Amino acid sequence: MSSKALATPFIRHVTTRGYAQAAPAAVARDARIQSAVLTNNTFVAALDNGSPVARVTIAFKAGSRYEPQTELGIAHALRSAAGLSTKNASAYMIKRKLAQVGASVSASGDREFIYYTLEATQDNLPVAIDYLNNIVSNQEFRPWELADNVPRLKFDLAAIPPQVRAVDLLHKAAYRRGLGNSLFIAPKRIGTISSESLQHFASTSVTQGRCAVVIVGGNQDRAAMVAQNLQIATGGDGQSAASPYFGGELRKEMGGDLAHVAIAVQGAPAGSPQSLALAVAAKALGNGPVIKWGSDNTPLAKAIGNVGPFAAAGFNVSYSDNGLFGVVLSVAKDEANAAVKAAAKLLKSGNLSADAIKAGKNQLKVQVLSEAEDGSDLAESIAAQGLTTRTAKSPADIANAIDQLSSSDISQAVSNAVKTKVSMGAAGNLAFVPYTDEL
Amino acid sequence: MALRTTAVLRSSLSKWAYNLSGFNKYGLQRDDCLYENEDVQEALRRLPAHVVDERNFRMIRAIQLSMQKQILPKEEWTKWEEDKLYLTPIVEQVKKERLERESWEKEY
Repeated sequence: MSSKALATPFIRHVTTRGYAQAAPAAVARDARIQSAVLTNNTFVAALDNGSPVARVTIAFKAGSRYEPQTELGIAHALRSAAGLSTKNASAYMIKRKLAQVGASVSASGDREFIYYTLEATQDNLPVAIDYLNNIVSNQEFRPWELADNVPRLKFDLAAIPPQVRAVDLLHKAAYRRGLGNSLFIAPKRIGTISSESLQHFASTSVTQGRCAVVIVGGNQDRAAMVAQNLQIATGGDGQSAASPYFGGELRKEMGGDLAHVAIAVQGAPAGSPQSLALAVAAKALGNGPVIKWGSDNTPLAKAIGNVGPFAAAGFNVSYSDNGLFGVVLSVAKDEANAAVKAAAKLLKSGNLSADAIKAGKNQLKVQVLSEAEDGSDLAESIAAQGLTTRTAKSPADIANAIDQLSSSDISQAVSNAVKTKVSMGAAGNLAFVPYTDEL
Repeated sequence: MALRTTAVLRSSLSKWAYNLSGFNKYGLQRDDCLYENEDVQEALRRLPAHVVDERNFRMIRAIQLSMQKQILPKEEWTKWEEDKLYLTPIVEQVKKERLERESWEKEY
């Protein structure tokens, strides 16, 4: 029942934007994703892979980008309110019934969507689905339960890793509003989000038109049944105001021995060929050592050179109308100046060797396919695809699409991206971290 | 006809009993007199703050009057018609939740 938002590495956004479609091919070779859009505009999809554990995801376009500017953090409050009493069932019964059948439900969220994901064994699936339905439908947000929920929000905030903070600040700097809204509630706003505003937010964003239901390990009929049984508001096309890229810089001085820096340029929207090319390029930039405790021979590590211990990885995130492509870097505070400048120089040059691109392609394919082995991740990423593009790509298609990208496609996408203004988010000890105009 | 008479009789009977009980002379309401067991305490936690403040005011005023061996002037007595049950429905809900918990614990 706990919020899974923090367990999600930011790099997974690559896959939730539509590229982690791989079915566990070894289990059922003929498993195909079936998808449809119901008459009430709900997207439903199912992948019957014969798994003994079924995963059901109900996703809504209710992420932080849809927050009104006066109610920032409400998406975080909404996902942490999952499992509280609704009109249909009390919090106690939800918890105990799910525990009794060994099911688990998590609510996680990103900038665009909120996912309620259920895992249950096949024989207990009907009971567990009933309770998932009860969690999502007719949410009431009783004020005293929200007040009891405050420690959970505080824990969420205390547990944010500094790298995630840096990426969060990067988004804020790059987009200001919309996609720039933080995934997390501001500490001062904890406890100030009222039951009424949550109800209003839920009634406008938790609606049929903004909903996707995905079952991994079940059939299409069941997915449609789950969607039709939901007691949620009708309508809602989920058109969000476009979130243009501005570019900028935000720093949060937090002390400590390390500086965590995220540098990025404008990427490509989800579903476009450029975003896939940039995902490959992000892998090509580097993703840390491939052997545990081994040396890091990626272009990024070579560019930074021998400055002592550091960790650096390329990253690419794609949202429905925009994206970010860049580098995340953690380095000891004294070496931050040299390391950040070297990483930025590599990013801005946009030069990637053919070998690095080839390695990047292979690494991305492995990541896409291995993440799809986890049913919950797969269900959530199908839901995200459905909400973004109204279709769900099959795993083979994505692997093929990665294969078919030529080196020139990738270099072209990268050189287009690096023409845009550089954004930076930094957290940690920033004593020697350069500003963007010094890069 | 008989039914209507009964209803009228019942209402006037309860009004008579209400006035006889005397707490309204201190400006209290029925729900102010609930014994604060765990259910009621939980229900009080769920009330909006201003309702709790009003309740506390009425109780402190009643204690003050009682110490001074006084009652309110008659026009300030709580009227039977105006005495709304602001707490009882919540107490009922709390009780229901408790019974749900207890019956679950008994079964599993």
